[in-house]
Amino acid sequence: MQIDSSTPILVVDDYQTMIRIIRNLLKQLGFEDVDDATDGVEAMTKLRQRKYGLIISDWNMEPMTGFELLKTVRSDDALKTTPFIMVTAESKTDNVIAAKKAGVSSYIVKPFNAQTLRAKIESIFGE
Amino acid sequence: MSHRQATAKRRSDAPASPPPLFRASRALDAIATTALPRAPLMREIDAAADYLRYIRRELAALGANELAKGQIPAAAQELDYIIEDCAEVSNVIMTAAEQVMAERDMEPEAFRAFVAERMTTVILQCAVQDISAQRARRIQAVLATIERRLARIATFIATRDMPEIVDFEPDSTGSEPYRPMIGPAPRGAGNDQESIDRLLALPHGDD
Repeated sequence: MQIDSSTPILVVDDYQTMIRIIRNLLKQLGFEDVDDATDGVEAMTKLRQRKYGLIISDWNMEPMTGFELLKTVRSDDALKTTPFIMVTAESKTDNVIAAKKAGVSSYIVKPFNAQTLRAKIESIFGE
Repeated sequence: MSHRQATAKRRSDAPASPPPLFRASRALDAIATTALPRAPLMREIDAAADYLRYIRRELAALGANELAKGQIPAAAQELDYIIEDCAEVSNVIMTAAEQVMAERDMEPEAFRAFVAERMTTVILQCAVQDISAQRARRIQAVLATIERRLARIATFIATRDMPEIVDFEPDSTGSEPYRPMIGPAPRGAGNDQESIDRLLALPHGDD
């Protein structure tokens, strides 16, 4: 699995501020093609319309949470191999384990910085 | 013994006796059905009335009207202000940062002044921490008042929780189940990034 600056990335978060933060961090890391959605339902609509190389999602959103989005993605034949990073303030062990069992690729706890995001992306794509 | 002392003595004796209202009810039943002496019955009714006055006074001390109409809405308003302030400040800071990062054509001296001006904007926005902390302290004060008053009434009338009639559901619509897992962990209760990485690295089944 490979990633480069033109790889489309979908950022899912119900806070526009957080979307802007992640967009800016991704821009610093060289990624230019960043799309966004404000919850899991909108994300699924976009994921079915376009092939994304990476999903970066918050956990707490309505009506579909990031955790539900993760499970939906992993149960969809066309999407199940798409790398999925959970970026959330949900740092309780039960949450992390639940996300791991559901197939999360990486898990970043807020607040975080560009170095953490870069490290997780590099770890997923083996760079 | 004064009336007040007598009433206090009756209250202190209350836990060992049947509830006053029960006794009063029995006494009224007795009035209707038997020819018991009136004095003992009047004493029971008097005790029940005392007890009702006592509960009424304790409920008044709760200040439910003042809490519901004044302090709790004010605290909710403070929370709204915190949320709005945070969103507004985040956007101002983000905009300043984006403007600096997008600027490519300025001369170094002009760029330095431009950055300094934008950074001043950012620094000023950090005042939100102070303002939000003050708002949060007002909310803490309201919660402390409610806690104190509820503790007083629970102690004085020896109430116990009745789950079948208490609304433990924080969602007023009742449409969503209460999910205590949602949201950031209390300080010190969650995992930092290193702990999370270790959890993810464990083989399945070892977590």
